[in-house]
Amino acid sequence: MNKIIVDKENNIDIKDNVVTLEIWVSDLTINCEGKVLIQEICAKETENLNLTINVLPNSSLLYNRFVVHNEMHNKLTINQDNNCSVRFNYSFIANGKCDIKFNSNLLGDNNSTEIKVAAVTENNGKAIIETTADTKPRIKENSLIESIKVLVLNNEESICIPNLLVASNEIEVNHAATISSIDKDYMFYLNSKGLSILTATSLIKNGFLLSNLATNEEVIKQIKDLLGGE
Amino acid sequence: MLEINNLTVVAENKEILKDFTLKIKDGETHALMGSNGAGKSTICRAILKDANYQITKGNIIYKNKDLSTLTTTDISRLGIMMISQSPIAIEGVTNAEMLRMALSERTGKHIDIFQFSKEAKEICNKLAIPESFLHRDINSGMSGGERKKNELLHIWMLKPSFLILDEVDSGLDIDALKIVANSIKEYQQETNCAILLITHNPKLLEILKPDCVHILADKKIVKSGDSSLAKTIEKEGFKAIYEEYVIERNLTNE
Repeated sequence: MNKIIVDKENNIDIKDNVVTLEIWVSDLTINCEGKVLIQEICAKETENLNLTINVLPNSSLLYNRFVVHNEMHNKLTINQDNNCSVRFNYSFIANGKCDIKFNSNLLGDNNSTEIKVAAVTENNGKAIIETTADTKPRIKENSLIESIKVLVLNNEESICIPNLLVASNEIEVNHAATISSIDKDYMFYLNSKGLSILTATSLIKNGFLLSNLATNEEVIKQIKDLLGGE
Repeated sequence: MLEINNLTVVAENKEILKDFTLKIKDGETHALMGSNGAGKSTICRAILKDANYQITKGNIIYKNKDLSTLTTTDISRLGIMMISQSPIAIEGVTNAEMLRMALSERTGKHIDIFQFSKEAKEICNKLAIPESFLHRDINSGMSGGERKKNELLHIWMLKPSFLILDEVDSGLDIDALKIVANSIKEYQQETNCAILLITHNPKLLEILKPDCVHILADKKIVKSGDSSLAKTIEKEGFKAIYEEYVIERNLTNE
């Protein structure tokens, strides 16, 4: 897997590649062409990122983003033209105020898009997640799914706003948003196997975040190392 | 020995069990039968202190400890484990991960990964399940039969001394039922564990051969007997026994 560290540029092209990405700029446009897999796993005190991803025609993108945040104010925009497939999986832990505006723009025909956001709020964490799917008029054969899940492990308020702006009648769009605390049945099950509440919570939390990503053993280990070092 | 003394259990403000009394010695198998909604699963969950069920009277003693003073975690570490009729799936948490943590917390020691894997793989082979089960999420994407075998893996790894099997036969075909039942029997022979068995399945009763069979009705055990009682139920249903109990109760009240 190639590693790309972006600390100066504001525009990069990725073509037919599997990359691990590190972003250290606040404004970045990524142009994806062909088959692209991006893994981004990190812990950041604060992040103010304006990330735009242009998926070129006949391309596919799988983006797994896992971040532990203290504070975050991000704007993520995905533009798809024709014949594109995009899966953007974003898992994060919010230890402070974290807000994301996620815009998915379908500009052409025959696209498939899946945006999955899973957030865990801990300590003073608060998640404000707004996803907007915007489809242009007269486009066709598109499908889009937006899913936002927030697992609340503190007493802070979290907000999910899923928006669908649909201007075409030949498109299938779905959205789902849930904010919940730990499932009591999960807790009872793990306690009944002898796990303490603390350990069970940690397993459920990690499982919640990891199951949102489409990833492999190596990446899971990287994430677990990161979580272990929190 | 597990002792349940005059237990009253309430769920959602409704009394499910009243004056429920039962004693199960180490190594014994007791089957609890009763019509739907009689409260069989309630007693299973009350033993493990499920927060949805409140014990308002009586107590449960295991290994000389009053379970009402313990948490579900403590009760499990005391050796009690349950397989429910539909074990839940937990995405993102693998069997291996959960078992390693559970063993580590029980023993207070670091678990050697090599030793753990070796033992876990041996158990997978014994249960005729793929070793890949270890690295699959708990019960996730598994059929009913696979879930039960997965739970057996947990039993063999965590080595409980008291097993609660709440309709463990549900969702199993006859071959899977035999594998599950024989594995439980083998486990009991090796460890002398006690079993509280909730079932109406004749095959499971035939393999596990309960020492006692109890009939639950009217919120309590109304009749107990040997395994022949299960055969009577199979032939005649609960009605005759319940009618006999009502006559006796009325006579006592008079």
